[in-house]
Amino acid sequence: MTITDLSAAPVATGSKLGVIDVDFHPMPLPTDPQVADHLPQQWKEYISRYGLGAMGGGVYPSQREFTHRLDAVDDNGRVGLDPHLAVEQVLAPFDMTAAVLTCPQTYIITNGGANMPHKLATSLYRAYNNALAETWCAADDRFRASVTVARDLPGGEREIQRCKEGKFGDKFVQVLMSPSGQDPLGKRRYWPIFEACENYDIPLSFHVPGMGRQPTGAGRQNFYAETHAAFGVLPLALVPSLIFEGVFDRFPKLKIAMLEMGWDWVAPYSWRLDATWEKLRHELPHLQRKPSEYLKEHFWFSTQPLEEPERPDMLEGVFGMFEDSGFADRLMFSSDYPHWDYDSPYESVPESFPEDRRRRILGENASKLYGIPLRENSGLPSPTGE
Amino acid sequence: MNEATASVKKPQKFVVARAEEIPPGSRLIVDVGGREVGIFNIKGSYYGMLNRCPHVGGPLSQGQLVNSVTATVPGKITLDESQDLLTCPWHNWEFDIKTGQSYWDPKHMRARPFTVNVEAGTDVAEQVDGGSVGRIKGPYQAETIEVSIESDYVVLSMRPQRPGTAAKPGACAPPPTATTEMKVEVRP
Amino acid sequence: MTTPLLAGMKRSTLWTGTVIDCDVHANVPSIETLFDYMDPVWVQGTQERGWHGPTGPRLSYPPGAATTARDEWRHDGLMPASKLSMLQNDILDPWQVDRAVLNCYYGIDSLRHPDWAAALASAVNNWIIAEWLDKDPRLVASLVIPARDPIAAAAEIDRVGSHPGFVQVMLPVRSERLYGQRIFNPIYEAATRNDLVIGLHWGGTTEDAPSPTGYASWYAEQYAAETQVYIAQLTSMVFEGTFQKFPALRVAVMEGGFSWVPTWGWSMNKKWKGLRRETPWVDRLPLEIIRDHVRFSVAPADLGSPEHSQRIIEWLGSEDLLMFATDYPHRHDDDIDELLAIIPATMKPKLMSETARAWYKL
Ligand code: FES
Repeated sequence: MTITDLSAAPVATGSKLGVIDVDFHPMPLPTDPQVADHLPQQWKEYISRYGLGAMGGGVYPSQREFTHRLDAVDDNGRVGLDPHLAVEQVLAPFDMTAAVLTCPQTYIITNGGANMPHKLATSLYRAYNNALAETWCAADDRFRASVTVARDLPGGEREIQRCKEGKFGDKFVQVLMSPSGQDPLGKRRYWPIFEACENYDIPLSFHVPGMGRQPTGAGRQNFYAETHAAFGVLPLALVPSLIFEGVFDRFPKLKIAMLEMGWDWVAPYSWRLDATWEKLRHELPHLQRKPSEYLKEHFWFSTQPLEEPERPDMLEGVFGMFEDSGFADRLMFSSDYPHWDYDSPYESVPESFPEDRRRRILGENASKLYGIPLRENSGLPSPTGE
Repeated sequence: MNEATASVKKPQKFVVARAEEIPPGSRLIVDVGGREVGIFNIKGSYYGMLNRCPHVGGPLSQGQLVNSVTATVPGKITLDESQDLLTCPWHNWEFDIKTGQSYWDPKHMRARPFTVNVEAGTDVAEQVDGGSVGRIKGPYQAETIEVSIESDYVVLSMRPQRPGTAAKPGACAPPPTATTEMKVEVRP
Repeated sequence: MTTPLLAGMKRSTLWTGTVIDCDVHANVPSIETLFDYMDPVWVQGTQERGWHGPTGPRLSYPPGAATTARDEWRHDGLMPASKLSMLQNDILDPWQVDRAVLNCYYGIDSLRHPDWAAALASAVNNWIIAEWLDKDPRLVASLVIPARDPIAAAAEIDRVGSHPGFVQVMLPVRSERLYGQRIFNPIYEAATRNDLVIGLHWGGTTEDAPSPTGYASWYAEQYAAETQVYIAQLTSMVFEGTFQKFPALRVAVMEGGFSWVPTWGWSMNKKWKGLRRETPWVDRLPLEIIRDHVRFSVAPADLGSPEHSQRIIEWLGSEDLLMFATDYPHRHDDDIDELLAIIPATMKPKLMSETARAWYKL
């Protein structure tokens, strides 16, 4: 069997184009009650006394304090804290079926979790996971959560189990990890995470930025814009490790969701992966198929940030190449709310696109991957629907 | 619609607020017949900008006011405090508050600026009576502005100063509900 | 079939015009080869310590890997591409090249001793002049530098840069710091002073992890992922304003492919529009800066289907960005005839020679 056979998942048809947003950010700080209430007293005190190194400022200050869109600021001057404001600004106006919450903040604040007491790091990840469930999912049943695990600390699989088997188990629809870490992803130390994902049949996702090691193979960048412009370097390192280590032969049901890491690089990079394999097959006797086949079968991608070719008329060619290469059912709408480079469903998937493509990207592909049925009669108006 | 009806005097100028209601450093976003316009007081000079970014329609008038930053070579960054720019609250593109020109694409990309003047109450009252100046409800003002001759008024001209660039057609239109219900905030 | 071999095919059936090969290799067969070209203090230093030369070449090009040398180009158990006659017989003669740009990757930067590394670079440059440039007028070359030490690197560029055979400074793509950072400015000052291209080339510092995610298990993994280092280096040069500081700077990207350029360029453009204020010296769209200052060799080409590859070529937005290379003796299986078949007629002479001629002022 192949894991692409997801046809059993229910997809509502109707006159509307159902919308699922697969990248939506709560941005609480560890000191905010929604997180702090889940932290043991010991670590609350520790944080107030010693702080958290990676919080506040950063080595390349972003253009806005929370890298946010200005209109997402709440009455208290904060961003990503109030689930109701988020619903009002995004879920309601676009009549979404669901939004999948991702909180890379967890690994940003803990710098991957490696430079603080182990128990503090794991408590923090736990507290964030609880906040997503108990503050966000509880506030609106359209929210789904990610279990964020510290990539380089042991015990990620136990956190997945705790979340999946807890009261909000059904709300946790994926696992989230930093795209970079101390070791390439295919290495053995990460296998228990893969196993847990397979076990609960939920995707493993990655979202920028990469925390844990240098952000490039040649040192650190000096500018926020530079890191942003080179986010594409992260998947280029992540994909070959997973494929060439044979992870997908060992975990044939593993599904990988690449969030905010672009998708227009995928087809050209698959050519390079295949060319590499042709030239260096001798080194990789364990690989059973061409790299591009693993890529097609095991990877999903999100739309934001919308690819902006130099001329608008090139956009069709970009989508066309991706679809012709076998990824038509692999692209999912994401807004990245409340960040400054947020896209609405109308930007990511223009109305000028064929309806079938809009339907797939806006909701169907995510519905199948995450097993979230699209709500009847919700979403964007369909041009052909009555 | 024929020429005659088209030219029936709909006022092109609107009393927006009493001058002291928009002190230096503040702004007010007003609704003029369904079009939202940000009115800015920068160091005593008034500017107007359509609350819609030519990129993909972000609420431009809610953006940050900053000055122009340039550098001819790395290592020599200068701030030009005489050039005021409005940055879009979404993707942070910079627009000249006076001309609406986009900083990165001055040739092809323009936000929509409007002329804003301060006029004496006596003049304004006359024009209002004559029908050439309209009064509007500000989103935060319960009532239509009453013009009294003792005050100065901020008057917005909706005559196109220069055409702005339309947001990319079709591709990025925000949904109708978002436009009509969009909350407008006054950010001092 | 694989065109670099010209197996059963005449060069003229492929292309009747002029050929400039912008990337062929000379390999130093052993450290002893360099003794005649090295200050005696380092000859003795080498012998006394029983050192066998830098580790860089073996790590960047594992000796037995196909990507290091095609089987047909491994002669009599000798190190591939270690003699001029090999290059002449395998490439220069059959391809009837007008000029070829010779690159010697010897991993200077995998030797940490600053004085020794500088001496090693000088020895390699002296060897290139004596054994290669002086013996075949078709050759021009890259000079090598101790890239970790920009001041010493600039001194070496000034020492040999005026030799008419040197047209380029080789900068190995992997480094401890990104090349746009100002600490490297002496290298660009010296390169532009000597009117030399900067050649961003495969290889480089081998102690740090080769990617954002640590040490790869397999060479293939690292090989495929090397694109990310090229991207990081060029992004650094663009946003640091290297090309504003050195408007005459020309960069050539070798062994890095090019199919990633359009989508990466769009991403840079998009971010710049909103984040321009952070690096205000970047005064125009980043992809335009790339088109003005960077050229790419087509080995490897990493092509997809003809239709898709054609789209990539179109998205480059210029016919002037690509330069033909065999990358001798490394193995790539891209067929240059496939590439020639999908590009506009006007672009063919540019690809095969004209762009390289202009870039290297040949
Ligand atoms: S909507 Fe204003 S910059 Fe994008």
